[in-house]
Amino acid sequence: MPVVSTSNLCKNYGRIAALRGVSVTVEAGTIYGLLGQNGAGKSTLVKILLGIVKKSNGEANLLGAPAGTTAIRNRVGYLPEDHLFPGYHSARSLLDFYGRLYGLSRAERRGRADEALDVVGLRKRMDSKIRTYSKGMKQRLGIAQAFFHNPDVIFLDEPTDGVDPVGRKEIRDLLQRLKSEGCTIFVNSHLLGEVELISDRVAILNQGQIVREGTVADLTRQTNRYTIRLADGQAFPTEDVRALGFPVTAHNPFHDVEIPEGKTIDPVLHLLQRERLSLRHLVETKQTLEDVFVQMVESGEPGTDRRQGKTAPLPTAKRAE
Amino acid sequence: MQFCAILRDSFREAMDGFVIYVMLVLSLLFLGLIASLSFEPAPASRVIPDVLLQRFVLFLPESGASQIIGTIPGVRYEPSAIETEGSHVRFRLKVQGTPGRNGEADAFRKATAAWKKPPGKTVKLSAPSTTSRPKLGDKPLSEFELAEPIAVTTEEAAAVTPPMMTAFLENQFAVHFGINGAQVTPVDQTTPAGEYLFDVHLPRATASRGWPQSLGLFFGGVEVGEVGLGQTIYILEDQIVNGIGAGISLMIAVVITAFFIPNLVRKGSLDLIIAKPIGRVRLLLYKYLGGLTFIFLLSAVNFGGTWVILGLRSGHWDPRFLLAIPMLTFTFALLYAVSTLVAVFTRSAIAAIILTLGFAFVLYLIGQAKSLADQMRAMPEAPFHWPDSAYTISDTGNTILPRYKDLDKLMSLVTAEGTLTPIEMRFMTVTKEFPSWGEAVGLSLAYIAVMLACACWRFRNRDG
Repeated sequence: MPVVSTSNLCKNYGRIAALRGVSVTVEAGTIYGLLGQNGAGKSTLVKILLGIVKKSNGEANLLGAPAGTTAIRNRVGYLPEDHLFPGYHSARSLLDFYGRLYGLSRAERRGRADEALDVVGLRKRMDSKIRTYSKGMKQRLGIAQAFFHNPDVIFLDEPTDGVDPVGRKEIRDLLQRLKSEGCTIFVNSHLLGEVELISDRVAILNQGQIVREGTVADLTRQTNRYTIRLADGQAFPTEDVRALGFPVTAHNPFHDVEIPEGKTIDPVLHLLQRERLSLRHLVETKQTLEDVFVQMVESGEPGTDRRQGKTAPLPTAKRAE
Repeated sequence: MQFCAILRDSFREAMDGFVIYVMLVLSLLFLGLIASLSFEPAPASRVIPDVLLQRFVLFLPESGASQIIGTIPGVRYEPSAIETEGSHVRFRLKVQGTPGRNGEADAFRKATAAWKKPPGKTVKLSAPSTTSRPKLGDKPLSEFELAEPIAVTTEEAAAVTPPMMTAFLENQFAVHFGINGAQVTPVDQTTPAGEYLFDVHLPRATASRGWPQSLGLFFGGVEVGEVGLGQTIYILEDQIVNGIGAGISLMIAVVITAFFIPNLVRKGSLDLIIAKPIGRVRLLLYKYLGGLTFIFLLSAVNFGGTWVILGLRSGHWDPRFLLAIPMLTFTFALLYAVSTLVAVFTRSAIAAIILTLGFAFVLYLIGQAKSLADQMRAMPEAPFHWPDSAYTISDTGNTILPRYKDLDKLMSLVTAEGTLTPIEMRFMTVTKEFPSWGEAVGLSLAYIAVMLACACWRFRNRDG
């Protein structure tokens, strides 16, 4: 049984359609990455699953129960984006408070809170008031409160937001560890590199609709393109290669050779050998998740000006200064 | 467990601000001031003759159970051999009743017979507009009901026995001093006609409610004056603690707790808590109860502390005053329901504070207007009267709005019952109208239920 399943899920905020027929399925024990620009509807999807926001239409199930079922939330951990922990708590007292809401015993609360705070590196500061924490520390606390009660599924909305590179690595390792223990993890992020590194499956949400969904390998499949560089002083036989039926794009000192459907790179390599040219660089080009994402989402984020992925030039006067 | 968790969280939130500490310091200062009060009983040699002379002319008919006050003409009381032993007072009492004409019974026999009877016809007298007694002066008296001299037949007077006389005198000590258990024994000695001798033992007399006490502040450093113990405690409990103190406590509690719900529904905070396995309605109600627990604990410290310290300093221990703790909590429950409703709809603590205090002010104004309207209606001869519409507005407002002021009046009555003597209570109850508990509590409860239901509906159906 899938941990998360939605079918034709819709959500309207007044006249604004935040989700337009979203259907996703997340299997147990996987890390699922949901990519999308700010305002694409990622958080809305998670909030519907948790009962924070009501759906307008469609189906949404979490752990086999209709989304929003109170009792099911015992088995769920959640780190919202832009979370705001009560400043009057310390990390330890906050986890104790949440532990009571989850119905954990005193011993369980104490043991798991200490362990979780140790894992996220907050043990030394766990008795300090949260209002004294940095953004990164609050983010670590957010992750700790999402998993300390041993949930079956964890929803993380921008989990590495405000965390330094070392911390990000630690979080990635932690998520892998949780996954290895059977936990299902649903990550919302616009940090493509992060998602690419940890996710088993990825979906791209654009303006309330899933535009691509699959494994990372699926999405970053080979593009049948090779990048070639010859030894210094040697000219690349562009026209000869084109004559063989391979389109070539030059960006000195490299040349990209596209391999048409049904062909291989071998005829080009034979040509170079015949011409006694010395090969210095030959790499099969792959798409990154970022390439795929930018390709799919070629527009400004909702509510901002459309720029087709380009930065507007700085004002001339400023540059002159 | 979830309820306890929310309660603890609310308490932690309340203790986070500095206002609560200011309030606790003020409470401690006030309790310290109460602790510095000293009560010195006035000497029995002065009190007994004065009280017998001044107060024993009044009695409560129907063996002390009547609501109407009767008078005793023609009886003289002469105490002698007054002895004090700790708080106990013993003396011999000579009662002289003016002999009746034509062989009729003397005035004391008549008084005893009249005391046994119901009041019969009453007269309504104009009463003074002010008085030095507490609570009597805050509303001008329009009329004062007094029993006409109760007609006693010769047979009824002749039937009066010594045990009836002792019961009458014992009841008088209960009515005027609040001494229950006075022992009055007829002296077996021949006396002239109309003269009676009794041995009187008043246990714990100097600690009784009606016994005058010399009151001092700062452990006697400042002499305040001589007032009845019950009246002093009544003023402290009703006017100072349950009046000014409770008013300040309510206002501060409204301010402190007004942040509870807005902080809960704040963006970034709400998602965290709603994602936990607790229903929205339950969460809101628990948070509401958390606010009530806060004021309950606060009032328990203030009222309970005052009660204990006053008890230790004065020897007066009447638990009825402790009813002020749930009463103040209940009054706050009404205000906090308004605060919760406003907070759920606006998410703003400032709006919750302003509208809640505004609501309390409107209720106070309506209560005051109703009291004034009742007074003016009772004085048809008054030179100035409101227009009819003003009476209608005050009456309608009082009928349909929660009885905020009524709860206060009822608490005054409970406090008075625990501190004042029966005769003082009679003066108090003829000068004030007291609402019924059912109406006062019921209407407020209905308002609380409706406001919480609206808040829960909104909270349950909102996104985020």
